[in-house]
Amino acid sequence: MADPYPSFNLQMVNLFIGMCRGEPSLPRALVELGYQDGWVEFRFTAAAGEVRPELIMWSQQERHTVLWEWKSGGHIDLEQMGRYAAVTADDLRDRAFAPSSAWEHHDLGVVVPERKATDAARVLAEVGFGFPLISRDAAGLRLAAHAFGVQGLNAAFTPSMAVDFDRLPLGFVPFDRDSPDWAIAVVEYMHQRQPRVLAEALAREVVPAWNAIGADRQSEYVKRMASILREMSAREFHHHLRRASHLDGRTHTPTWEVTNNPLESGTDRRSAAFRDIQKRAMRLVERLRHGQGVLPGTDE
Amino acid sequence: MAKSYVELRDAQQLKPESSLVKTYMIEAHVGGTGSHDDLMRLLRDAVASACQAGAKRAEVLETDEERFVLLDVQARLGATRLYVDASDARFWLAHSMDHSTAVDWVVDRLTSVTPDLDTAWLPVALLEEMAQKGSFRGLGLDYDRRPFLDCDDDDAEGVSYFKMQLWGNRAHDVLARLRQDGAFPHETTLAKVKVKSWLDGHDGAFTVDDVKFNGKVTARGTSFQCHNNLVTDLYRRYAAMIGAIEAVGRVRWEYDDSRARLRGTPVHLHIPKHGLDPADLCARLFTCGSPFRLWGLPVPISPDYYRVCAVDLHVGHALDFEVSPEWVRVYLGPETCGNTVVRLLTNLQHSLDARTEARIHGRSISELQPADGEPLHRHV
Repeated sequence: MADPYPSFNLQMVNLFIGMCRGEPSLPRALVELGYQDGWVEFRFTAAAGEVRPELIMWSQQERHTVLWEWKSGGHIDLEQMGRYAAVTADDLRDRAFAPSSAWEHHDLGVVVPERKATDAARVLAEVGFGFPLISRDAAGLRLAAHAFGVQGLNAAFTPSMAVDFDRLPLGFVPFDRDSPDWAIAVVEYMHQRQPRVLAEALAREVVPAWNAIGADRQSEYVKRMASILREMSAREFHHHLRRASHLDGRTHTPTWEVTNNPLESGTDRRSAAFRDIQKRAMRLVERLRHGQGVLPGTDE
Repeated sequence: MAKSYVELRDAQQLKPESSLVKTYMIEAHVGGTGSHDDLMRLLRDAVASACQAGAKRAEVLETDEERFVLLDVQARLGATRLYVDASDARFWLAHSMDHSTAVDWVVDRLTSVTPDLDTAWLPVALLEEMAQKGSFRGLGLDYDRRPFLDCDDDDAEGVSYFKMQLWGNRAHDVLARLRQDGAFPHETTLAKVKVKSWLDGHDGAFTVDDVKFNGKVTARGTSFQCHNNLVTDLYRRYAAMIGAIEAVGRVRWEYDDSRARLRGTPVHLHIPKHGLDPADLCARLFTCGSPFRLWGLPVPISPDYYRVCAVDLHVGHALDFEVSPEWVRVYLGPETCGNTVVRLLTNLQHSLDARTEARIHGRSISELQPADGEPLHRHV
C-alpha cells in the first residue's frame, strides 16, 4: 500500500521550498536568513561519486549552502553519506552551481521522522559523520544531533521550529511516485479536446522537474502513469477512455483514445457531464488512496 | 452618442430606437499563432455555439482591417451588431450601439458556451481605481450570498443579499460609511462605478461611463473619444494585472541543462469572513458551472484543510488549490490563465466577503506593477 498522502518526502520538499519563499503560515526563519530554494533533485558528481540531494538551498547572506536529504524510513545509507562527506566547496561552485559566496560553507541536512531520530543519530555518530540531523515531530522540526556550520540555522531549529503540518503548502512539488491524483491531468487533456492520451506525454506534463530526473526515473513514471490509465479505462472511466495498443508503435508509448469527451456534450449538458467525471475521478482517487488497484509497474 | 445623451438629459428616458454606446472587454484564447485566421476560426466557432444556444442567425464579417471584425447576431431579443477590436488577440474590445438586453444576451452566450472566451472580471479594487479616473458620480453594490447558502437557509447572523444603486456626487461618502465597522463592511461589494470624465482641452466633450464588474462599460455623453480613453485605460490596467499574475503566479519548472528550479509563487486569497468549513466551500466552488467554472477534486489533508487538483473549464488548464477556513492558496499551472484568479476573486467578493483580497508576495494583485507582467499587445 502506498504511503499516506501526503508522504513524508512530499511534505518536506514543499515545506522547505515554502519556507524559503516566505509563504504565509510558515516559519520565517529561513527567508529571514536569506535562504532560497535552488535545485530540486539535481544530481552532480563529487570526488567520491554521484549525489542527488532532494533539495539544495543556499543563502548568500549566510555564505552557506544546504543539501537536503529526507529519510522517511530513517535509513542512513552509509555509502551515500560517504559521498556527501566528500563534497567540497569547489564541487558546489563548479558542479552544483551554487551562487557566488553561498558555496563557501555547506552542510548536508538530514530530516527523519521523530521515531527514527535516535537510531539515525546513533548510526551517524558511529561512523563519524557529523551531519546535522533534523527530527520531524508532530509540532515541528528540531535539531536532534550535530549542528550546521552557521549559527542562524542552528538557532532556527533549536529548541524547535514550530510547523503546522496540517496546513502545509503542497502545490510546489505536487506529486511524487505514490500520489494518487495525477490521473486528474486526463481531465485537462479532455478539455483541450485531445483525441488521445499518451502515457509518456501525460507523465512529462505532471511529474515535477521532468527534464532533470533522469531516464530511469522517467521510465518508472511512464509505467506508473500507464498503470493508472489502465485502471481508469478498465473501471471508472471505461466510458471515456479506451486502450489503443494498436497505436503504441506509432506513438512509442502506451496510448489510450478518448471515446467520450464532456466538451462534446451539448452546451446545456456540459456542466453535468463534467460533474459526472468529477464523481468518477473521486471514486478512482479514493480507491487508489486505499491501495486498491494500481499495479506496480509494467503495462500489459 | 451625443444625440442619445441629449434625449436622456432632456426627457430622462431614451426613445425606443435609440440606445447608448457600450463596450465589452472580452478575454480570448485564440489558439494557433494568434493570427487573423485563427481569430476568425475562433469567432466562427463561437457564433456556431451561440446559434446552438438560441441565436437565430449569426455571422462574422471581415473588414478591410485585420483583427477588426463585425459580428451580426439575430436573436429572439433583437438584432445586434458588435464591432470587435481584437488588435490585442488576448483582450478584445467589442463595441455596440444596440439595446443592452440584446447585446448582453449575445455576449453572455458567446462567453459562456465557448471555452476560449470569457468576460473580463473586475475586482473591487480595480473598479475603485476606475472611479478615480474622473468625477465619481454613482455606484452599484451587488452582494448575493445565496450561491453559498442552502435553499431557504437565511443567514441568521448576517446579510444574505445586499444590492443598491446610487447616483450622485456623494458616492464616495456613502461607500465609506457602508464599509465602516458596524455597518456592512463584508457585504458592501462594489459592482459598478459611474464616472464622469472630460476630454482634455475640449470644453463640453465628456462622458459619464458606467463601468461594471463584468467588463461592460456603458457611455452617456458627448464624446466617443472620451469613452474610448476610459476603456483604453481600463484595458491597460486589466491586461497588466492579468499579465503580472501570470508572470509572478504561474508555478512552473525552469531548466538549466539538467538542473530544475521552481519559479513562481502561489496567489493567496484572504477571505476575512466566509463562515464555511473548507469541505463546504470546496463543494460550492468546484461545481463545474458558473460562475466559478472550476472542475476539482478535493482531497482532505486535515479536518480543516483541503487540497484540490482542479481544471479551469474556461480554457482547460490545470491548477491546484489549498483551502483553509481563512484563505485559499492558488497555484497556477505553467499555462493557466490569470483570468482564473480574478474570476474567483471577483465572485468571492460578490458572494462571500467583499473584503476578499488576492495577494502575491504579500502585495495585492492590483498593486502589481505592469512591469511585473507581460507587455501590452494593443497599440494604445
